[in-house]
Amino acid sequence: MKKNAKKILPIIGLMVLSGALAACGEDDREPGVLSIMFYNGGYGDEWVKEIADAYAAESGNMVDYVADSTIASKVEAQLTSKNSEYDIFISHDLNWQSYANRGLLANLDDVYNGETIDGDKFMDRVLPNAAQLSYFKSDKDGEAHYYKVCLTQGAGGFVYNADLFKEHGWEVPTTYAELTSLCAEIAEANIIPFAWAGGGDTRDYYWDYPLYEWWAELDGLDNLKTWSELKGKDGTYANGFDNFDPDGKFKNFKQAYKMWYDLVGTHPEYSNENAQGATLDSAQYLFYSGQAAMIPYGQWAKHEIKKSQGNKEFNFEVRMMKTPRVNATSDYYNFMVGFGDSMIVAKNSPNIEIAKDFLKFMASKLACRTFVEKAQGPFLAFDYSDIDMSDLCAKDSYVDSMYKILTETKNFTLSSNSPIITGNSDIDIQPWIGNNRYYKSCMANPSENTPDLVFEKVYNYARDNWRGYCLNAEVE
Amino acid sequence: MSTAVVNNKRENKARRRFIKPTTIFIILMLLYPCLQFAIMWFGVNINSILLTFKDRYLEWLPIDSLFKNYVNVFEKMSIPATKQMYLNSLVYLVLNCFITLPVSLFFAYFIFKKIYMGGVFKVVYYLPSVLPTVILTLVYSSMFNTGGLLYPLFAKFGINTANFFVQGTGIEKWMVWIFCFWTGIGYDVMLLTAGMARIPNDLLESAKMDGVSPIKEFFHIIIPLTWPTITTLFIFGMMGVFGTYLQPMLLTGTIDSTKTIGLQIFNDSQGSALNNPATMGLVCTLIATPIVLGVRALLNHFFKEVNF
Repeated sequence: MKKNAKKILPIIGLMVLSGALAACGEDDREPGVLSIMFYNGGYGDEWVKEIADAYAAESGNMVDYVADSTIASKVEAQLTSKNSEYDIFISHDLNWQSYANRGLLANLDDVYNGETIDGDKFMDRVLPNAAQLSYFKSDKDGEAHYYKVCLTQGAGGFVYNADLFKEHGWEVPTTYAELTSLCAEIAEANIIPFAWAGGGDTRDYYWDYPLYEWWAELDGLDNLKTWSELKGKDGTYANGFDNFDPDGKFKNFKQAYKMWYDLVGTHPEYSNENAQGATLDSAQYLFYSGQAAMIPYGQWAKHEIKKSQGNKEFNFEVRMMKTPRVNATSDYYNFMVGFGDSMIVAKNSPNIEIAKDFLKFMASKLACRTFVEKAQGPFLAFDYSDIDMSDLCAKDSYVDSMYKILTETKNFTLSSNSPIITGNSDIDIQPWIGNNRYYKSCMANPSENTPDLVFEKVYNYARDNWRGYCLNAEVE
Repeated sequence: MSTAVVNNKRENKARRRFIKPTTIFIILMLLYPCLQFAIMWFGVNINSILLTFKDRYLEWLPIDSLFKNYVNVFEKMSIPATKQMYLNSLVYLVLNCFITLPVSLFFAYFIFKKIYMGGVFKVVYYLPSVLPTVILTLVYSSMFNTGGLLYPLFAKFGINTANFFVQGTGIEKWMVWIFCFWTGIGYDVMLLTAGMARIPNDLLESAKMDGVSPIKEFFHIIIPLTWPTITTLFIFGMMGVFGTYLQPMLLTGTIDSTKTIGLQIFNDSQGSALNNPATMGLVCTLIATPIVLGVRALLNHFFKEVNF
C-alpha cells in the first residue's frame, strides 16, 4: 500500500500541476470557423441560428455562436486577450468607442465600402444615422474609421391589445389629448390602461420612450442632436450641465414629463396597482391576460412577453402604436430603441475577413427578413424600403405595426459620441442624470414629484455633480 | 569495513541520486498554492495597481500626471453624490459591528444555552446564510409588494409598503439596512455558536457551582473566551464598508440613496474605463488597511488569548 502510494502521489501531483498550468494558457482558435457571441435578450436566439445557417450555406464558412446575457462584462477580457475566442460581439452597452480608441476593434471601412450578396453597396443598405454613429475618430491614431455596425433600428412606445380596442370600439389615439380621453374610457371599462413594472428588475425606463418622442416633437431633432453633445452654453463640456436647465435646453423634456405626470403620475387608476413596486412578470401577465390594454415597451415586447408566459402564443392581436403626438399637425416620431446595439469585430480575431463578410451578409435582404421573422418584430438597422415585407406583415400584425412605425414616422436616436457619454455610462447621463428616474417616486408621492420640483432636483444634481462626469470623461 | 556500513553508504548514494516520490509530491503540492498565489493574487492585483496609472483608454498616463487618477478620486470626494456614497458605506460599519454583532452575540448565547426551541431558532437564523442573496432579496421585497405577506398588514394602518423600495421615500435605505441585519445575524450566530461550543463544559459547570449568574457568565466567561471569533467578525463587519454592493443593488437598484463604494466599483468595472474603479479600490484599501490592522491590535488588547 505504502509502495503504491509512493507511485501514485507524484502522479496526482503532476496532474494537479499540469491542470493548473494548462488553465493559465490560452486556447488557439481554429481559423476558418466564425465565432459569434451575442446578447441573449428580448430578440431571442433563433435569428442568429437562421442567419448563421444561411451564411454558412452561402459562403461555405462554418459559424459557431454563443448566447450570453452577461456579454458586456466579458468583451473586455476577450478583446485584450492574445486571441479572442469570438470574432464578432453583438450586444447593447458595448463600450465600442473606448475599444476603438484603444485599438482593440477591427477597422470596418472595407465593410462599409463593400457590397452585400445582393450586389447592393453596403453603405446604401445602412441607415444614414447608423453609418454616422458608427464612424468614429480614434484618439490613438487620430483617424476616423467605421468600427461597428448598428444592430437594430427599433421602436419604443405603447404596445396594445388590438382585439380589446376593437371589442370596446376604442380608436388608436393619434394625439396626446386622444390618449388622455382613451385612458379614461379604458379605466371606466374596469380595464387597466397601462401595465408597467417599477419593482424588482425595474423597467420603469420603458416610460422614457414615449417621453423621448414627445420631447423630439417639441424640441425638434436638430436641437435634440445638439443637446446630446452635452456641451454648455459656452461650448465647453465643463458647463455641460446647462443642458439640464429646466428653463433652457431641458424645457421641452420637462414638458414631456409634465404630460406623463398629468396622464399617469396623477392618475394611479391608469396603472396597475402599485406599479412602482410591481415586478416585470406581473406587468407582463396583466397585459398578456388582457387585464391591461397597453404596456409601455420596446420592439422586443412580443417575443419577451410571450417567453415570460412559457412561450404560449398571445390569444389576441398585439400591435405597437405610433406614439400619439403632442400636436395634431405634427409628424409622428419614433425613438429608435436599440439603435445603440452594436456588432463589433475583435482586432485579435483570426477570422477578421470572414467576420467582415458575415457583417455584409447581415445587410442582405435575406438576413433582414429573417431577423424580423425570427425576432418577431424588431428590424435590423438597414434599409427595408426595397425589401418586400408584405407577407410577413400580413402574417404578423405586430411586425406590420412595427413596419409602419419605422417607415411612417421620423426616426431618431439619442446615441452620441460625446466624451461625456462615452466616458460615463449613457444611462447615467441622459436624460435622467445620475440614472434618477422619477416615475416610481411620483407614483409613491405625486405631490413631491411635480414637474417643477423634479426638474429643479435634476438641474441641481447635474450642476453639483457635473465635475465628476467631466473627470471620468477626462474633459475640461 | 562492515557490510552494514557499506549498505548504509549505498542507501545514502541512492537517496542523493533519486529524490523520494513523497518529496516530489510535497514540492508539487507546495508549488501549486505558490503558483496560485503568484498568478491569481499577485498577477491580478498587480494589474489593478497598474491600472491606476492609466487613462480611461488604458494607456499609460504621462509622467507629469501619473497620479491623476488618485487626484480625481480625492477631488470627487467633494461631489455630493460621491459624499453620499461614502456615507452610505460607513453606515455598514455601524450596522455590522455595533448592531448586528452584539445582537448576534446574545442570540448565539441563547442557542448555546439550549433555550426552549433553540433548534428552531438555529434554523431560522442560519437559513438566510445558506440561501443565495438573490433569492433572499426577492423573497424580502415580495413580502412588501402587492400580494405579499406584510402588504395587507401594513395596509390596515394606511401604510403602502410597495413604496418602501422607491427612491425619495427615505425608507428605501432602511429596507436595505434591515435586510443586511436580518441576513447578517445568521452568519454571525453560526460562527459565534461554533466558538462558544469550544468552551470547556467543566469551566462553565465550575462557574455554575460558584453561583455565577447567566449574565455574569456571558460577560465574564463567554465573551472573553470567544473574543478571537468576535474580533474576526468585527473585522469582517468593517470590511462591509467596502464589500456591500449586492444587497442595495438587488433591492433598490443603483440609486444614490443606497449606493455604496462596492456598488460604485462594481458598476464602474462593467464599463471599459477600469482605471476609475481600480483607483478607487486601491485608495480604499490604502485607507482601510491601517485602520483594520489598528482596530485588530486594539481589540486583541482587551482580553488575553486563552488556549483551551
